[in-house]
Amino acid sequence: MSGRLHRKATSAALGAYTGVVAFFSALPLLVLIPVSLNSKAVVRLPEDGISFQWYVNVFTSTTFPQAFVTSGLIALVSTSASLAIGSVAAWVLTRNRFRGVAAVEAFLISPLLLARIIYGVAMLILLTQAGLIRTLPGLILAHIVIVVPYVVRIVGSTLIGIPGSLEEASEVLGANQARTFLRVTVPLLLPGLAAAAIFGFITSFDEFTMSVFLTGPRTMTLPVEIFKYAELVVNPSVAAASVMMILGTLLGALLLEKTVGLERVLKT
Amino acid sequence: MQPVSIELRNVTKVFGGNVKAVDDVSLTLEPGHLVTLLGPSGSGKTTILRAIAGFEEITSGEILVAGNRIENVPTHRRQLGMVAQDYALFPHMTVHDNLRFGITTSRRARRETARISPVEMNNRIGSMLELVGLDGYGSRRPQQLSGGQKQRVALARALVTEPRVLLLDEPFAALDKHLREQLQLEVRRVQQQVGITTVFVTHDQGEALSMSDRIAVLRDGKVEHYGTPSEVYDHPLTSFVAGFVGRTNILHGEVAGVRNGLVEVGLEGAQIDVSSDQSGLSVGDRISVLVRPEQITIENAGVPAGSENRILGTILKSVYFGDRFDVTVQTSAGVVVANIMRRSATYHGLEPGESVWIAFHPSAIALAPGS
Amino acid sequence: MTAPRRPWWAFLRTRRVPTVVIGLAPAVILLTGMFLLPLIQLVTMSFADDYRNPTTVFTLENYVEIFTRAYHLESLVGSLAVSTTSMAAAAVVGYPVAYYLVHSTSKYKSLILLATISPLLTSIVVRGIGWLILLGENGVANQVMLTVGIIDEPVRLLYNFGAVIVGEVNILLPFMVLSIMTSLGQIPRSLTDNAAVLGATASQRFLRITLPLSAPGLVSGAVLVFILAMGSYVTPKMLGGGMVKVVTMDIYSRMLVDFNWPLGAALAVITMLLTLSILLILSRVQARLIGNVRL
Repeated sequence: MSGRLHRKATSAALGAYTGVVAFFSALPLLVLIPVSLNSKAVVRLPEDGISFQWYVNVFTSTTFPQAFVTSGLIALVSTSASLAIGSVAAWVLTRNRFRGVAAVEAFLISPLLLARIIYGVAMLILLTQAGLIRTLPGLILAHIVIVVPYVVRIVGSTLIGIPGSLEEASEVLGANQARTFLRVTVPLLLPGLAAAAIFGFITSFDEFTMSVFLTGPRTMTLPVEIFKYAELVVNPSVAAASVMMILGTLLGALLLEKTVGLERVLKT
Repeated sequence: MQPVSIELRNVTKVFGGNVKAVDDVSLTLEPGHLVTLLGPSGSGKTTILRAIAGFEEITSGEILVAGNRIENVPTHRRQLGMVAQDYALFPHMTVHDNLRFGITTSRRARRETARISPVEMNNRIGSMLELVGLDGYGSRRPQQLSGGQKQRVALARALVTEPRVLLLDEPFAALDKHLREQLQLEVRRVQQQVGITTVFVTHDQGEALSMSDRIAVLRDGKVEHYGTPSEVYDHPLTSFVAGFVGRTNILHGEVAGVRNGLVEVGLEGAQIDVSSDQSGLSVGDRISVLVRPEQITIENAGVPAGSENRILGTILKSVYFGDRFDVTVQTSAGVVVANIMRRSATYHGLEPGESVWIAFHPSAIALAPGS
Repeated sequence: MTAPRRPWWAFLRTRRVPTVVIGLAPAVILLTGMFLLPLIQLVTMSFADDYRNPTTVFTLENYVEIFTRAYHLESLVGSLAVSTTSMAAAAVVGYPVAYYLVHSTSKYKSLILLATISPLLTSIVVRGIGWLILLGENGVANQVMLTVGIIDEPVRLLYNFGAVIVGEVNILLPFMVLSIMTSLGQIPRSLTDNAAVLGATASQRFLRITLPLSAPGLVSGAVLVFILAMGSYVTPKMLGGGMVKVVTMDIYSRMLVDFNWPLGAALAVITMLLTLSILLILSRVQARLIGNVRL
């Protein structure tokens, strides 16, 4: 029937279109891999054979490894702190619906609504006055502020799926609120916590727009370092460093997919 | 453990916006009794239970357990046991660990520092599971259990902490009829064996009647009747209670005369005698006459009168229920439903349009203030 | 006798309050000190004339400069142009993708979804470098086209408005697609099935039912893309090469190159207010659409 055929054709066309769009979405990332393996110092697809020299170069002649460590450290610390602060806050907000609770929740989520560059400028001003500019603690504090909203959102929505009657039962059995949270709520929250952790880590590790205002020569994060390098020259070294950065986040994404499922996280 | 009493004194709970969920309720629950809070949704029964548990703060009044006020004691120190409507079994723990959680946290809350050996712990858990008929289910997870089994685990977990009071919040609501009746007997058996004072919330009057030592019938936050099941059923204090607990026919009339032990009531087109020692009734008082369908017999129009009250009427319809007929009769005093048990297989029932007497004994009636 | 009215602060007497306070304190204190406070200081700075002593003088000169100097106005207009174009392009490109992903049962769906949202999982810097490598004069696109023979000489693909839009849409497409997907996913299948029974053709079903009912998702995706595009720095900087002027680059230069913090702060405040007002306008539109579309 022409209807069936028509539908199949539209479906195929749509699928092809989506495939093309998806390909172009991933293209800037994919192209980095072959370019980083070029045996010549040009940012083109390898024509004369491949070489890993640029990856070696990253470790031997650049400051990228140092920046990698700095970024990783900041991401680790800020994500952990955000998890602790944010999940307790989300728990309290979800289980206690007093008047004004909604306002507090909106406040904790508000950093998501502010452009990172504006926040970066504001933090530049504050941290300079506080003497924390270009320091690790300063960076960590800023990163915690931008990760906490994600934690509150994700943990909050996971919490809705955990019946309050479980916590009530725990209290009746003799556990105070702290014990109830740790022994009953948190074990059931683990999927949400894992999702928030990975999302938060990626957000912090990849962060640039705000961090560029707050980093200094001794506290360079990897994205800022790569950007500054690329301002001067774009060569396979930069491509190699970028590939290494992608691999790191890809690992995180796969973990997300395995433990929780990407769609569920992104629905929050 | 010695059973304790529970006392509610002038307990009121107002939710924001002046919604009075509980309105000046005072009740005393005797040690060891199973008391049912019975009523429709919104009657305040669940709010009272949650107030005793500590999940709701009461606006005014006092709640006492074993003579001590508990309104300011946090939930985890009230030494209660509770079975929630959804059983609230911890899904990330086995049945055994669910019970073990109860034992360790309740002991910690009571500041019992003496160590329990693993053997003794297992014994306590084991004997409690045996008590509820789930011997050997310790290693199962809640997801692997049926509704009835979950309910029994919830009960076991509540009791294993040796609480002073047991709270049951519509625990059978999610079960099918057959399982319900089975578990009602089980829970009652366990409760009596342990001897624990229990507060039971339900909207099912059948459950209330079969399980309770006392029933408190609630409506709009107030207690309309607090008494034994037979008191509540046979001598309801208000027409709401009569209508909610079992079915009742309500006929409206006026007091025509008060004699020794008998009240004459004038109904529309008939006069009946009611056995009642209710003082305080005077001639002319408006009154409601409450008669249960099963107390009514139907006699053919030709049969001579006996000692019972009789009203003439016409059959409107007769509904067959297998073991009985529900016969609706139109009388001058109002429409009356009678519940006629079939006495033999050849009983054919009654035809609409037939003229019959409805009859009921003077002592099978309750009186309530008229409207 | 009726019970006495409970005062509004009575909830403070409940036993849950200490837990609420302790639980929220760290987050609230952190955000007040490290989010609210810096924003207040930002506004204060915008009214200052010396970044070392921002509170000694109160002046409007920064705002005056923004509105009188063509350079700054061009930056603002540039940002608006980039944002609105990206928003429109993302909507057009992204809708069919969202539609496909919602209705497809292909086993490649996960992979395609992952590829489409990959921008969310990588740094914008890495993305920018990828595009530079692709579109540069000595880059991969030119390499391929030269080799295949489509062109004889390398083509200038970078450092123009188009390149910036391509880069922005690449990064922001996931937000649009996910937003539309959510809206599409909420349309019950029964609606279009019923329409088919009533005789509607496929395109009628799409135009009269699916499209209107997915409008809320489309609008909220557009809003999100717009706001994010207004705040983007890396993409216009790397792919525009100075030829595309946006306010974020202006702010960056003022803050870190000129050290003219008061002016930079004023620019930031203006950008924030601009974005906020457009957000409010679009929210009205969104609310109207959602109101019409109550499922």
